[in-house]
Amino acid sequence: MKDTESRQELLLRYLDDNLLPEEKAQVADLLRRDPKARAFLREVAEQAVTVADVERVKERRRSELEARQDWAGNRREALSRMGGSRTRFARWPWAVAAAAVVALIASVVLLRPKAEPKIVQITELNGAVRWTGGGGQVVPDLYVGSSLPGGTLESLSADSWIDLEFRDGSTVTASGQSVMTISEYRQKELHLHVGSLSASIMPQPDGKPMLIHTPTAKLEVLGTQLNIEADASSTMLSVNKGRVRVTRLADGSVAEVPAEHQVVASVDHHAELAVTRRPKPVTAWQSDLATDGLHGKWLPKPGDSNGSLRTAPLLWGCHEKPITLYLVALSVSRSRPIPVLLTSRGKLRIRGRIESAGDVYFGLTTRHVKGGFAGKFVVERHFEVVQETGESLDIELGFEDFRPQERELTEKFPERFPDSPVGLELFDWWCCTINEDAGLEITHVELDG
Amino acid sequence: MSGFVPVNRYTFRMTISEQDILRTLMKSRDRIAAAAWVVVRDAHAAEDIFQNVALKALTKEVSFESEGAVLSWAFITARREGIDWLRRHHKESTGLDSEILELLEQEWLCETARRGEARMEALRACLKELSEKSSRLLRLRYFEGNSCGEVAKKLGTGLSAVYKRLSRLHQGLKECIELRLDESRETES
Repeated sequence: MKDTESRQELLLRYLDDNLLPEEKAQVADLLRRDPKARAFLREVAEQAVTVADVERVKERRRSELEARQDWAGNRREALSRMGGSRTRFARWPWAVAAAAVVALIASVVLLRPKAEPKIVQITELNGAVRWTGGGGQVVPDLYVGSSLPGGTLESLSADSWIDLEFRDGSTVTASGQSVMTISEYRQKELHLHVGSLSASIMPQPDGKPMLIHTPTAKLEVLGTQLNIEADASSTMLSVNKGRVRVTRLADGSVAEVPAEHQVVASVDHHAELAVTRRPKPVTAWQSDLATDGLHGKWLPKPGDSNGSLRTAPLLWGCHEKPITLYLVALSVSRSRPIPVLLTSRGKLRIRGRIESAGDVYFGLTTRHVKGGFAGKFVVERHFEVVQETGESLDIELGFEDFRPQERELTEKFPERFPDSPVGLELFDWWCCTINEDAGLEITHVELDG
Repeated sequence: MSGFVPVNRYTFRMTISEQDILRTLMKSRDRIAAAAWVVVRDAHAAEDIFQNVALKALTKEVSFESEGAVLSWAFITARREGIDWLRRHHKESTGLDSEILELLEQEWLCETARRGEARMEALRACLKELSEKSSRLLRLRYFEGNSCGEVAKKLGTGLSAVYKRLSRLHQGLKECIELRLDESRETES
């Protein structure tokens, strides 16, 4: 027994690098010929890594708890600076707890990635949204309450959107097909590669404005409410509150955009970087399919300026069995940067063709007059097709026909997601069939206010 | 799940899928990390080494024909990664020659995955039963990575007392694991 103990102590001293040279040789000899000594060494090694593992899990639980408390503290501080009140989401505590459990299981059961600081939290989401982390980890299943470190968020379909909240209470909503990268090292930075977003930014620390990068512009934001639409060739910025400094990347020209003003920064550096007062909304709009198309296949008509947009497939839904949408989506502001207001008298007229019978869903994406995502509205119509060559489609839809796509959201947050599109601004228009390609082609969309 | 990969133009051999590779590695995770720990004697580095091994197993071009081949490759890779880690961190080698390290790996490999998993489960349960004093000693030594001399200072005790307490603790945990395994075998039978 005494021998066993002294052998074990010798091995422990070896593991502690506390042996004389001659003792090292003794340990090597012991391990070479004595299976019991090797068994003890293996035992110690297993116990050492397991102790460390158990302690790591405890540490992670502690830091999750601290992060939650820290998050709440930062948010309260920012709100008190603003002197205002904000909607509190009822699911918040449960969502945070659920997210913490999911994060814990993922980190313990899977490969235990090193902790990265969390930058934003998902407060609401709908439709297909995907996040790719800094290490290239793709997460298709995101949940309300998930906290995310830096990475890229993709809102994948015309009817998807996501609300994010930074630790200081600043919020960003991305909707439609949008791709943005979020980071927060020295200051908040957001790269909107394509798509649209609305943001309410809390006052930022002196000298550290939030930076928003698009393919054609850099925006410096100190505290404001704004809307941005960006693609490879232009950026449309509309400021509702506060002031934003815009740098056009094509030539480095700079403009300050105050509240109620807007600017378009395109790749064309010959055009003036003109800051204009936000125009009064119009109540009529007519599509320019070749320019406005966000999704669909453009079919030009030879010898005619009018072509058509045919539905193109889009996989939708990541959580359950995905469905295929055959979708056409149009931007309302791409050809004319003028807000389009939906009124109670307004009618939407849609013309096109359909090749086979089926249900067609017509949808609107809206935002509030002062900016901010206001939800999606949808109406369904069934079409019969008698002729083998297909049928012309010509329908008129009143806004009383549209219902909120997510009724639950309207019930929970009626001010943010009204139950009617009347009084809201039209952001984009879309129509689709589900799982069946009905050969739907759109030739004309018009709003008569 | 299995897949086929071409060996040459005319023959194909059975390989195990990425999911099976990962499952095999995860079942033996503690043993692979422990093997790395014997080389580096740093529990966090050992965990990093296990993660690197898992990533390499999933991204390497050579395929595996059996779970045994995965494990054998994993232990060897963990050892090499451990030696690289020592070099990168300018630390002295363990002094154990490759013959001893191979013997230890062989013994780990001979233990079935099922038995290994049961042992680890029992070990976690035994760790929960430790007194706060014993847990603190293990935490200071293996989680915080203190030398036994540093542990002795923090606990206000002598170095040889720390070796003695550690020796008894490891032995006690070993006996606790065996007792739990015996009990579960009796329940099963």
